[in-house]
Amino acid sequence: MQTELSREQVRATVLSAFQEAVGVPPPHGLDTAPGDVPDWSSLAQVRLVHAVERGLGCVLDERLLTVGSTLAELVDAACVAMGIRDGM
Amino acid sequence: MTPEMTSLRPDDGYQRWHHLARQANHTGRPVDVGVLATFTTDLLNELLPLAGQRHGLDLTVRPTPFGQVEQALWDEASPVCVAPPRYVVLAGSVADLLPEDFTGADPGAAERLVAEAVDRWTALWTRAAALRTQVIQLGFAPPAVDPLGAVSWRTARSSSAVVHEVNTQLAARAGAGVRFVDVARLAAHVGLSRWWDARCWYRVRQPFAMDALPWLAAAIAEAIAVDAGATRRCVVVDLDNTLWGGVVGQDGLDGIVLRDGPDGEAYRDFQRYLRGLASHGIVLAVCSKNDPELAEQAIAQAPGMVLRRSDFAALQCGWEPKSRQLLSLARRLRLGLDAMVFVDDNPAECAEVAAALPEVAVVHLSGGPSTFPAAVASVPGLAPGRGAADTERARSYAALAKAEELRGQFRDIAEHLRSLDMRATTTTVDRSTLPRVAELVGKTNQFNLTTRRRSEAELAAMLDDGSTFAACLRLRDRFADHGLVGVVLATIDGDMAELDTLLLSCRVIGRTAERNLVAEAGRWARARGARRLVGRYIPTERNSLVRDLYGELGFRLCHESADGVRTYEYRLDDGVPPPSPYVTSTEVVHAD
Repeated sequence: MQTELSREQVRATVLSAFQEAVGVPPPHGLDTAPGDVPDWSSLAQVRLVHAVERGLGCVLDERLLTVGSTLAELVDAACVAMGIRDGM
Repeated sequence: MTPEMTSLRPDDGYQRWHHLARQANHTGRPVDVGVLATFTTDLLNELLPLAGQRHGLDLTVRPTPFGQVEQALWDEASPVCVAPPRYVVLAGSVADLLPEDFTGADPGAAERLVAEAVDRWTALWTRAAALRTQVIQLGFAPPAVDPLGAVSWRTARSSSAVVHEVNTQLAARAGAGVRFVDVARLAAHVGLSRWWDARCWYRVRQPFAMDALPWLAAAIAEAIAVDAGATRRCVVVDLDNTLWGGVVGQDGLDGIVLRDGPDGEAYRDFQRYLRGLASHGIVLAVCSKNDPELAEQAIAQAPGMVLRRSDFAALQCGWEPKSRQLLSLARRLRLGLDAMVFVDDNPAECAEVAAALPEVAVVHLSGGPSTFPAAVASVPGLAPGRGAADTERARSYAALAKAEELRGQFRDIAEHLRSLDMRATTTTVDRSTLPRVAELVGKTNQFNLTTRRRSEAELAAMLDDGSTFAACLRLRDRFADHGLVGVVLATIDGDMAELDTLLLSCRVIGRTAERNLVAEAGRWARARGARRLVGRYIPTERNSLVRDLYGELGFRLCHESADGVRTYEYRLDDGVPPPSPYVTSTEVVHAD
């Protein structure tokens, strides 16, 4: 049932997962980058990816386990993994 | 502990555990744990305090950077050496066992790798023992992917075979001071393909999937809890719709579901599981809203019963709330409520017990009978033992209940004690008795004068110290052999000897057997020139029972501090404290 999820639902899942994994809300929403949050460590990134994978029921590209992407880029990767096209 | 934490299980997954780990507070018995691993343990370390709370332990984790195992234990300036923690967790991964060029083609390579790995980790055990630190050794999970595929586990010299052989040898060598955690079994339980996540290994040097972490944390905490004696030792079961299907009071002995059909088979298997617990040291009891005579009759005569009356230490049947019945059982069996697991199919009964007695672990059997064994097995701290003492334990508790029933038939306590025909064996503690002694030192609360908790490693170090006397007492009576139930530790300094530890298992409280231990310590001290034997009572929440013990044994009260610590003294010039007049010493092995 993955394709029934919308991009908006993926965004909400990623934002929620971030708060759970890092312990603080993302200060710039989906535009939040690793440099914006001191606690966004490599281990927090692993927690974040795990939370997104569990929340959406997908497997993300393993390169995302390394800190570097913004949350918006994580949303894009999750949409690719779930087969959600732009505009859905 | 919150209700969410109480019901937490490893298969709830990493996210749930991480969420609750943030809420864990510092309650319970404080224990510090060093974690020394060849891989990243940060995410695992975060879960350990939560895992400890499920056992009433307040675990403080002292992490060490990964890959620093040897340095942490051998460098005298390292934090572990400067202030050794009570426990160290030692953990490696398959990558430590198998070099990059290992193929299994070289016949001698596998044997050599196994020997090197066993030597490496056992050398660390020796070093930890010198630091008086108890080791929790994690075993190794076999690789999820092996070039030999489906035949890898049974092909000599395969990667998987090397891992299994290392585990086998380490487990066999784990004696005093080392507890081996069977990670291979954990991984098999979870599923190897779900246990591993190669991405985590390559990206963060963690050789486990995230959802494997709660299983590991729970297993480590369980090993520490068992070592510290923070275990559940008594399973109390309901009868109707628990040991059998149906209500015996309505359906009759022939109407309950037990003998035939899939449900009957499942109930019988549940009884077999419980019987297995009982044969490995877990005490079984019944708590049922039933007519007592009918309950006895059903257990003895119901067609298909696997459990026998003799498998239960006590039956508590009646119409009172189950929390009151459990309190009565705890008194009869002299067990703490925190040692009990209550198992019932009725959600209202479970809720009543959980609310009234939060120390009791409550298992609500909400599924069909096929789910019952797994439901009970998932209780944290329900850890059957493997030694002879464990097989004796259930019989000993049943004997205790019998002796308590007989007590009222005698005119006075002396007549009662003489009727028990008690025989004691007192021996110095050695390697064979050390595990049981450590268990008693770790968990005895009520009859424990000083409640000094020491790990097996710490006790082993004391045994090697020539100025310490360590003796243990076995007791049997006309009902049962209670096994090793008493411990005394004494030290000497000049003309003064001190009873560092004096304790008895709750099963034999009131039998006066402690007098034999004190007498032996007195003989040991006097033979070494001591003129005074000092005993202390250090009050805790649980040991007020023995507040006046030394006075009753003829010691003189010398001092009582503001916090209730009492210091007593016995002059040895004219002899030693006398042994119990009610306990015959059949054998005494001591050091004079």
